[in-house]
Amino acid sequence: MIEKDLNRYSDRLRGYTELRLQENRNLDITLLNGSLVSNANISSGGVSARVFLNGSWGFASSTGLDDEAIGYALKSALDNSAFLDSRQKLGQSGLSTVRTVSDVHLGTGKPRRTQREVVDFLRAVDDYIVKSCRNLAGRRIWFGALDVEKSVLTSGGSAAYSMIPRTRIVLYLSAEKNGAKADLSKILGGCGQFEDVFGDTAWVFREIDRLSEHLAKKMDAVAPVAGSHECVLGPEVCGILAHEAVGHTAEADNVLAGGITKDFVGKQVASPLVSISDFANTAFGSVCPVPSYVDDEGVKAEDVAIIENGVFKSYLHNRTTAAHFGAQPSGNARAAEFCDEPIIRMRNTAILPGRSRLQEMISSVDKGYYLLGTGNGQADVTSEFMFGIVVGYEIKNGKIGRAIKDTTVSGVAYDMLKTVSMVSDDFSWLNGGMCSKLQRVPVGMGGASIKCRLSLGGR
Amino acid sequence: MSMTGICQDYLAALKQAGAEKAQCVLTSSERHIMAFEAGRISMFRTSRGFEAGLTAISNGRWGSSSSSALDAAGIASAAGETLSAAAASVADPARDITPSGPAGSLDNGVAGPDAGKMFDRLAEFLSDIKLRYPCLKFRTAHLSFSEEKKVFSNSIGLSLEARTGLYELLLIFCSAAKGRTSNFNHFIGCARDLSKPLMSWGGVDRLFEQSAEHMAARPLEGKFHGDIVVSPECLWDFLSFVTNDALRDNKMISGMSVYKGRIGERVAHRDFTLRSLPGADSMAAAYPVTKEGERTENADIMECGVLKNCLLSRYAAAKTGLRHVRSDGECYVVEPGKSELGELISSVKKGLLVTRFSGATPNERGDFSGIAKNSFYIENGRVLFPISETMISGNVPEMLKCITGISRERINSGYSIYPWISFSGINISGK
Repeated sequence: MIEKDLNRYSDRLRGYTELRLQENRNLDITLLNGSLVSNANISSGGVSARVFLNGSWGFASSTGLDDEAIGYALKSALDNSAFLDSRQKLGQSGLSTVRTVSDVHLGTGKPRRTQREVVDFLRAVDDYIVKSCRNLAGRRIWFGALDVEKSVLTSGGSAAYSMIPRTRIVLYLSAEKNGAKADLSKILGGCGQFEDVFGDTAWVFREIDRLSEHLAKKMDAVAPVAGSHECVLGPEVCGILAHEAVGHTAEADNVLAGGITKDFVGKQVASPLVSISDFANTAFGSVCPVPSYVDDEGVKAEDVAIIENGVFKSYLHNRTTAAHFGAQPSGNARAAEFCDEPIIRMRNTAILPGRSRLQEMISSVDKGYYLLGTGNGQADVTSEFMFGIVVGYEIKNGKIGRAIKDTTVSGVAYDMLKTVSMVSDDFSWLNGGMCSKLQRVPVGMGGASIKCRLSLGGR
Repeated sequence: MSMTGICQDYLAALKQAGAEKAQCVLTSSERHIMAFEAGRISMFRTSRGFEAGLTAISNGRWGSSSSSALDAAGIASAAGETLSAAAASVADPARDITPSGPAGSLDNGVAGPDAGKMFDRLAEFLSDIKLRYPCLKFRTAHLSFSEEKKVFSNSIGLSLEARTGLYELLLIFCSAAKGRTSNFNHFIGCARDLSKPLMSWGGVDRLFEQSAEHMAARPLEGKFHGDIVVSPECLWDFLSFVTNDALRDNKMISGMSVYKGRIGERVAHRDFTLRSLPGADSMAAAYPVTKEGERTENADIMECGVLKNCLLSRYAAAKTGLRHVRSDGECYVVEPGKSELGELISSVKKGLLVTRFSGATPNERGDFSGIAKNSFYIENGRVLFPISETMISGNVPEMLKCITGISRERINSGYSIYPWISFSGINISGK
């Protein structure tokens, strides 16, 4: 456990300074066709300091959580800011101060399972896959349990401690029949330690049954027709859309880097049916997949309504961009590891539910596609996006038809969002998201289902 | 205490905890980064790190862990965790620690960092950009110097030290003016020193120029089968299916690789030769020792289209019976062709010059689809205009058989040396 209260270092913080102690503890286990190919406890812990001097930032970090490491980080960060300041002489005024105090520990209250018990659990999952999945040709089970523990102290008086765990399993299944091959993957898990997330196997087995069903249908999949189509996107696809195609364009650092949303605030940018938010820690009465209470600049994490009823409302800010735009910082500055500086990140980004029933939405499509599962996704400063689709079906005359082969969907988000004609009344999170904007951090993504027009790759 | 001494302490603790075989890889690193935005250097960052990677085998069971402890209690605790991981494992005869070779200390000879020189090169770069590319915007940009020292030691006599140093330039940028914005593009390159202006590294200058042109991108209409000419910066997006997936541990152990059982067979066009050269002087990112603690060797992956080697760890090689090459991969080189880039373009009747690909991870068979970003439309041998919202799809192994030309010109980014390559039979669909 890292030191919770850093106040004893407060007299060593010069000017505007942030001090952070952080340890990321990761248990990483992989079963490949039943063989244990990775089995490691990986921890990375250390200290970082960041100093703002007349517009120049200095940052330094060191492994170790002791006094020597803390002294090194504070001194080197100050030296680095002084070096830049002496060369550039920007003469900018200081950042505003905010004071937040917080202490959050989301670790389990149950007795901890041993690593052996976790491996046994995974072997039971592997056995179930072998027993239940038809035409199985290969399988991989990756397990990752990440505990992120950190303490932050700022010269403005913020003091925050948190321990946020996330536990995930990623299942990869391959099947083969008469020379035809198909593969699929699915992420299970979410916020919490192993004991709270994977307390029993029953729900995991149900998910495997669903995955096997999709895989069996995918064995006879047809290539989708390339071009623009009417589509219904499931919550997983909507989650990645909210994150990649909208959320990134709302990050204020991307706006300053030439982003298309530069003049969007207050404008109608999507169908009035569309609302998208970045939740800090709680949504619809429950803790989000990646809760954040205070960010790594010591700012209280607040929910941000990005789009409300189709109108663009707000960017995601750190202290610097908030000062630039004359806005309040929203607590979106997060760092992945102790050695990373905080940058603007999403937390839990989602398309909010509407009023339509999913079945009505599918029934209303004469010819199109129902897209349910995604691979990776990317979006650009122009909001041009692409997502891999790994689970999808044809819709013909309002009915779900044949499975489609892996494909990619693409479009320009703020064009596509104007075509949204229905939003479902249900909602779910994709619990295992990661965002790779410079530093890989856990994120939550989710949504309702939407009906829209979209371009598919294919034949 | 010296790194070798710390290594010995970890090994002793692993043995004390019950390891029959034990290995320790100590890494000490330092990184100096200057991050910049258009017009100014925004942050100077220094990071130092220390990590011990531990492996233990007990009763044929294997476990690993990492630690940054330097004190006796912390070292003993890390050793205990490693043995707990091993106890949680199952016996696997393919698991072993690295055999010993000649002891030694290897260094790539790059000295640094020179913070003053880094600042001056950046100031020159930013002033050049202001003059020549006034619409350029950076999302992320930095110049860094990284130094890493490693000590490899184990209970069967492995004793090797390695040091590497490297300057790296990372740029993620777009162009924006008068309400028009290009998509992001990126560059990553490295060098052993700062003797050359940053604008001359790899293809930086050309990428900035293309970014500016892309503010006028427009959608392509229709759908057709055509050729694509892929730039050196974009080639990795396709070759990584081969080098980072199909020829690696997971796919070979699971038997799901498209190249399973095909060593010695022709799998690509006869003009295509791909190597991994971690020992090449021409490569700034060359590394003398693998992650497993072996002196590296250069490896042919495909030679004249024939599959020569996979890129497997010692464990995966033992599991599959295939050859282990002493390379972590990377430092990839594609041999040059006989045509000028201009000739490749002039032989395209209808197709694209692809300089960035944003696509889904290809499936096990290598099927891919995605957006041809920062790309240009070619018709009757002429590059006509920059395009947006255009998708391409195909299959990587098939593409490698359908090479229609490889350029004589190549770009050395420090991490790879790639030419332009043209491929036929790609599905191209516009808006």
